[in-house]
Amino acid sequence: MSNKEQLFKEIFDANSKKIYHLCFGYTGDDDAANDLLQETFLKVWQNLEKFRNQSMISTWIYRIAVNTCLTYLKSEKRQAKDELTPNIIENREEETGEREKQEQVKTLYQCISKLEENERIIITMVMDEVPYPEIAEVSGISEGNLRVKIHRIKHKLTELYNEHERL
Amino acid sequence: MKDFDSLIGIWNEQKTAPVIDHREVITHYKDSREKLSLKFMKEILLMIPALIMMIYLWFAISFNFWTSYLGLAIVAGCCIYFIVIQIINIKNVASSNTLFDKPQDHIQFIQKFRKSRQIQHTRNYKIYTLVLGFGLSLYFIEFFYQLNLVLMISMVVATLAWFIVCYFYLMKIYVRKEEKRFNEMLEDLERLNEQFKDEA
Repeated sequence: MSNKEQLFKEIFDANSKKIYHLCFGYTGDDDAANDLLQETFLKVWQNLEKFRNQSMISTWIYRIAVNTCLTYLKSEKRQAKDELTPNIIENREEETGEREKQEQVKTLYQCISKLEENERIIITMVMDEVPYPEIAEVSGISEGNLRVKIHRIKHKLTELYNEHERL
Repeated sequence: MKDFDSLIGIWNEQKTAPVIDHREVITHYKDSREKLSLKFMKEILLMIPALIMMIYLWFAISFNFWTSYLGLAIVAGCCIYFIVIQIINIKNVASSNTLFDKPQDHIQFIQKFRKSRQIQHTRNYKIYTLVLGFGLSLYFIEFFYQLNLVLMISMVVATLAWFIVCYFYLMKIYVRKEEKRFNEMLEDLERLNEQFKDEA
């Protein structure tokens, strides 16, 4: 494996899961999320030389992922689906407790898909514990405004989830 | 009733994971580069036979009317314009990299790009059709003097009918469809642009 490939593998392993969550939260679709993840890392591979000396490489990867998501929705005219198609419940033979947990994850993604596009992006980063200054840098929104936005989105998502559970 | 911290707890329990690995990305990159080169080749290969035909007609046939040469040059110019525009578009798409910009700047770039494509697909295409029609008409003038009356009238009627159908029917449907598609796209981009404004 060349040095470039080794570096890319390290970057991919460290960031792919979080980027996948972002893409999944945005599209609500398993296949689309994988496509977007691939497109994002394709750009990373293409621009690896530029990244070599960057301290906050994850910020740049998030930035590419967000822009890729936005463009993807526009070009393909895809909308987040109400009915998700993930392989969230992977094993039917899993214990009931585990199944319940994964059902809750599915519900959570359904609720995220009801948010506006920028809200979906911001909240998935919040839940993956991306620091606020990094989210601000990725989204281009000042930290002060972002905190207000996040407060609102948290409230909105919690309400959506509880509403869903009551049904 | 759950609070946001409980939702984070649920989020952390998820087993969702990507199904691709880093090797697939590298393979896909190499494939897409090859596809782009093939697309370039296809555009160039389309241009070559058309141009060879024009050059052949120019030199092989000794036209009596200057209008034939002018018509031929206009038609050749249209072919070259069409192919060059295609190649420029492919190159622009491949080299444009606003993915590193802030989302709002990226959206604005996409908006501009879509608008220029809309102009290309509608206004420029109309002009292109008219110029091509004009070139062909000039080219046919000489034929009208050399062919018999029935054949000449048939050719005029057929050519006119073809242009009328293309310009007033097919073109209108095409332009309407393109405009609807682009307007929807621009509306969506406008909405996204608003969402990423730095206001709480």
